[in-house]
Amino acid sequence: MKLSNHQVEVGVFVVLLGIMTLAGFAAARWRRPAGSIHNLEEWGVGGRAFGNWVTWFLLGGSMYSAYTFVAVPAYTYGIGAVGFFAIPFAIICAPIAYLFSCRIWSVSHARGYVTNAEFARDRYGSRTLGLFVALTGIVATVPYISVQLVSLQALFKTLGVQGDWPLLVALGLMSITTFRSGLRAPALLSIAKDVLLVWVVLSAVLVVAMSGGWGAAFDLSAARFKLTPSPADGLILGADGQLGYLTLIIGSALSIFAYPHALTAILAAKDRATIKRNTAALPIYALALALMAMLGFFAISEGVVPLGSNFAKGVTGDLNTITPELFHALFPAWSAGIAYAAIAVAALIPAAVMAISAANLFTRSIYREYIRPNASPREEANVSRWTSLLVKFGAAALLLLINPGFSTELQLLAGALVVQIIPAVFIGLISPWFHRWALIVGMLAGLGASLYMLYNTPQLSATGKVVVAHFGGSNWPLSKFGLDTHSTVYAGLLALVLNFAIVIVLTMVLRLFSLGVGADRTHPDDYYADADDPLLERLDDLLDGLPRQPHGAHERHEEPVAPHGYR
Amino acid sequence: MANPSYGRAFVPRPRPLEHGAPPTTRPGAYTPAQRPTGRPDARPDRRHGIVESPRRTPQRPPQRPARRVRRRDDDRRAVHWLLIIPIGMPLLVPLYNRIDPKIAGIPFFYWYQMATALVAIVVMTFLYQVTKDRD
Repeated sequence: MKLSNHQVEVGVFVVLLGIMTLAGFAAARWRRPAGSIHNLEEWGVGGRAFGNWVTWFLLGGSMYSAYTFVAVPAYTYGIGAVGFFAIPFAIICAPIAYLFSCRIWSVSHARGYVTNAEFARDRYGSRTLGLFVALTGIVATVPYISVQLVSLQALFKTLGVQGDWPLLVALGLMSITTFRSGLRAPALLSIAKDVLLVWVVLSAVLVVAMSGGWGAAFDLSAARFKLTPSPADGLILGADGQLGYLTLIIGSALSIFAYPHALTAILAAKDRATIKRNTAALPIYALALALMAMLGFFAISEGVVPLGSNFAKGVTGDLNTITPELFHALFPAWSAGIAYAAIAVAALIPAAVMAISAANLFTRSIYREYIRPNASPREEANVSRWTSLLVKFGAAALLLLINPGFSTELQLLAGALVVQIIPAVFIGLISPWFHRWALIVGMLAGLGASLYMLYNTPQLSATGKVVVAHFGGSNWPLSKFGLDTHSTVYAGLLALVLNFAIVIVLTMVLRLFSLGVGADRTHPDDYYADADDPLLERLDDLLDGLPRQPHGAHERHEEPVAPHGYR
Repeated sequence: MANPSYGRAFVPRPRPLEHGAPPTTRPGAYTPAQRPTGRPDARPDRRHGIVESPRRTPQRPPQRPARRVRRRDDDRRAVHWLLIIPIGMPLLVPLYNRIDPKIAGIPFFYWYQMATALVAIVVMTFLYQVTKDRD
């Protein structure tokens, strides 16, 4: 009985996903700390049991998602050089993370924070600020989860599986493993994902080499871009597109430091040296991403078309299917199945980590602050688990009920929104000078400005016709300020500039009159705390998954005395 | 920076494991029997002092073990300015927005940005090695 190509693909895909689901369940026992504890830190931040390699996989896994591997080739396929922005953005994230991640790690471990909203609250002495940071973080993370699921949906469409049920099944399996194992499940699966991804990238490079090399791919792409009516696409940026590219890089890099899930991955590291080593190695992922982006050009040269496209009628089709279609066309069936499994896991892992971090934001900054201040750690962990589930399925509902095209625009909006917490969360790591009220006003102004600008950005077709009237793009033309140029600037960055301006001016005024300056609850030494500090909060004090051992009086206490003596 | 508000009582963070068991104490730390009731009544220094939080953040006892402040010097070493290179290189957009010279058929625009990734790895690894020796 000879299986058709399609059946082999689906078969390999299902088998691999099944294996990884089982691994996700087993993750509960993995690197288990001695003694099972029921609080938020253990479940929500897998604890300092994560050393070098695991942290790298988890960081890479949560920052380089399926959206990255599917959307970036789709962009380069569709518009060429502008789509490559993800690579320089990823590259500059690494040195910035090298400089600042250690500080947030140290202060979070010294004070027991699992979210950046808590840090903002304590740094500036304002619960309201913490609330706004948390709300912005949650609102921005949900669409980001949706776009991971968009990539997953595109994958299922290419596989020819009809209906929405495969998406819900995959999401459900991932949710159960995370529910059970907390952050350990995505961490373990990140390793599996990276193994698969290495395979995929190597195979792709081999295929390109065997097909005549990159030169042919780029030449054919250049020819195709010349034929399209839009002047903005092409192998390199147009003169007007350079500023937009630059601001897109800066704005996206800043947004990574605002999104809560990157922090969740960082906090799970063992010590400061682990973070430094890992951020130093992060650009390797950028190289893999660069290869994937160039595959978009290869797809053009190979004549791969997106699903549902009909160029004769001018229908573009679903560009998100470019990557799966490329694998389908180029790889043997079994290898394509592996590639699909890699993408699927690359979608589910960041979705899980993002859901965990959004749930932590809710539990710590809303539930514990305002609803039940005396919640026990066990209750917190439970609330967080259920919220994470709600967030994941809420994101799925958002996707299924709203047009997929729109959900990608939602992510653009989310990025522009989340960047507004940068003054509080990122600059707060360096200095407590800003005033808490100024920060709140600035944040609200930045949020409003982003919403306004993105609402008024239509999506134009290549011929200039309006395709989508609102939320159609993320770049704001400078001509709207009366400047005589065609350049555009990333809207989120413009709003952030406004945000900073308001914060600085208001801070100066309010400090001049010493009005309501909040108190900094952190201490300068907190920012240098390392693993051997006996006063460090062990964020692995918290639950990951359901307890399998009795706790309380019957608990085994196998704590090592060195290096942490305080327990 | 000496902080005058450090003369406060040490309130150990309640640990979920130890239902009724006293927390492990370090020499010099307060035991629960000595834990004062109510909040310390010193006025909070609003400008840059530490305000008592009734929550879980552990307070520092007056005679805590000396922390290695050398690390503070590590993080401020001038060598970190090297990071300007990997941060700045991708931002010089007009400089690399060209097709020639090509490597292996890949236009300059693309391989330059990939080269930046390699430069970033090298610089950060160097920094890590150089600042590591102090510990």
